[in-house]
Amino acid sequence: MRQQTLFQRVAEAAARAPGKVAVSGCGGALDYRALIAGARGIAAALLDAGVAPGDRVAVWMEKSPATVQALLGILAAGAAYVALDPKSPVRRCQLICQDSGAVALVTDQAHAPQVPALLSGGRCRLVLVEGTARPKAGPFVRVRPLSEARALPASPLPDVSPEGLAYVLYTSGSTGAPKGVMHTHASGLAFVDWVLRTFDVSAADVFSSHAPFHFDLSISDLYAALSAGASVRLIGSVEAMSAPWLARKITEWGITVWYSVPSVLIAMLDQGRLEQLGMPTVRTLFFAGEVFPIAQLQRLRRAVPHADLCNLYGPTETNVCTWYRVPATLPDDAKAIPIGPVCDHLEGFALDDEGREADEGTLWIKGPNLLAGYWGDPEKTGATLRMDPRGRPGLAYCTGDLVRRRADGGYDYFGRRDHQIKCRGFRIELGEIESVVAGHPNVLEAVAWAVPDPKAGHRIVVTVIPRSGGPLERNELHNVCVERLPNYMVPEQFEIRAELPRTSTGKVDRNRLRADWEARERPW
Amino acid sequence: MVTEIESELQQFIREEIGASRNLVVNEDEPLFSSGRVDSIGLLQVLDFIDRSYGVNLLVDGEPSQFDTIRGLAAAVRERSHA
Repeated sequence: MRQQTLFQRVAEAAARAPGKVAVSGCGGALDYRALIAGARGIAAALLDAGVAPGDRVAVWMEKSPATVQALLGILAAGAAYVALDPKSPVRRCQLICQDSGAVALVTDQAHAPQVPALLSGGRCRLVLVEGTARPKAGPFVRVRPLSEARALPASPLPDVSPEGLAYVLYTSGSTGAPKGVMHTHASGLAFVDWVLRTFDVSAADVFSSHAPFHFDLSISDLYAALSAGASVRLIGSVEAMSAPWLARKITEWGITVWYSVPSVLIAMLDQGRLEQLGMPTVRTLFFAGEVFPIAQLQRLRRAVPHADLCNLYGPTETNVCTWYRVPATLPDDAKAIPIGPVCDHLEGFALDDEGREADEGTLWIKGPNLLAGYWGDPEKTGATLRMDPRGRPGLAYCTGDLVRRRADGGYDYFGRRDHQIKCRGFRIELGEIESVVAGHPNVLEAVAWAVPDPKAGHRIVVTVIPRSGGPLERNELHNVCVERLPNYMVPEQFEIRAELPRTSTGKVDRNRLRADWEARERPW
Repeated sequence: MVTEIESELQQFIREEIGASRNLVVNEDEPLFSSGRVDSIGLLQVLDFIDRSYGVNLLVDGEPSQFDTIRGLAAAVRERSHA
């Protein structure tokens, strides 16, 4: 019988080929034996500190083989990991750490000075630190070197249920605070197994790991690769930004399965001579996270004619739930790329405004990939994860994405029901930005809206109504955002107005804001 | 050692990239991995280096040197002496 947790799957692969390189890049490399031995040591340190199955452990590190080892160590101990964005401001990470109730933290030298700020108000009692830094984390918090934990002898691991929590991915939340999407070993593996069988992943593959670990693209990069005994090549955050360098390295590293957001591929086409270089070693190229503009996709198709190009669609809540294989030649008059049919182990349907099943409407998904819920928010869980509204048994998740059925049985995506946007692949709730800006004492009202951009997806503008008499500088608004939001959510422009245009029903007229803006100036 | 290249890079980042937000960074502070400057900013910095010193790090640079002003300046010196 197959082992049913993410850690057990990786450990099985390690037993088959212990000497093979499992993870490399970002200044290091680990074979399967060392990867698992270190993860077992980290698990021993967590268990020794009283970490129990279901507990959350935060990871605040730059990407490296040691980070992957930490994630596996947390899973081995039966705990769930909460990967914090190493580039996000400490205040946002602190909110997430506190919200998740993390009882332990694994961090690195670069983040050590900010550990006290990160842990304030939280429940953490153990900090494992890579390197020589020893942050003063508080009177009840034990601080240990990560190297010491890794070297601990393996201790017996607790029984972990496949239904146990494995990781919590925090995404932008519409009410102003990030929200934690919970996945179990079973929901993660349902997706991983689909990747393994649909794309014939083998130990001969080399996967890229471009996405950061708090982003759902990392689940396939890490666990599909490592459970198949393949190798993972990590791409660090600065490397990930250096498109021309990356375009050359893909071949040198022998990557066979590439996975990233479209904007990275577009940057490699634009600045990295990808059309000349090609990607000779890549057999399968996945992209996800945002709509791939068709003209750019035509270029990519020509640059890598030999590879399977696949558009993977799905919010963090469902892992990937539909996919589309790009044909060998795209018709010249193609307008947009479909999101394709629902994955073969899932069920999907569209409901119209009256809640009837229809060819056009909001996409709902059912099946084993679905999230277990939102961390600490049963109300939101109940509102989005509902009994199948068609009256059939089972839970269904409403994606909020508007789709249209195609003649071939797949779907086209054509928009959102709410104010969620995508910017360089990152999912952004405009409400979260609005609540941060509205937190400025001299702001009466703030409305965030998006201008479509062919390369970045969207760019964000915030229109602000100041309180009467209060002075307000764009500079201050920008600073408030920089302190509380990750870089990709910081608005490009602030517009200060005396009043907001409204529709006849009294809602803020976002279309009018956009039209006024475009008529006046387009600075990019 | 802080040379002219370091000061010029610092000035460019302060005045061109971080003009709206008082972005002041010392030579060893991470620019990109910290999220202070995004990928478009990285391209602007590399373009400035190309125009000012005739060194195209986009073509033959190593990202491990890109994250700090000191690293970028060292990359420029290595390549302009070669």
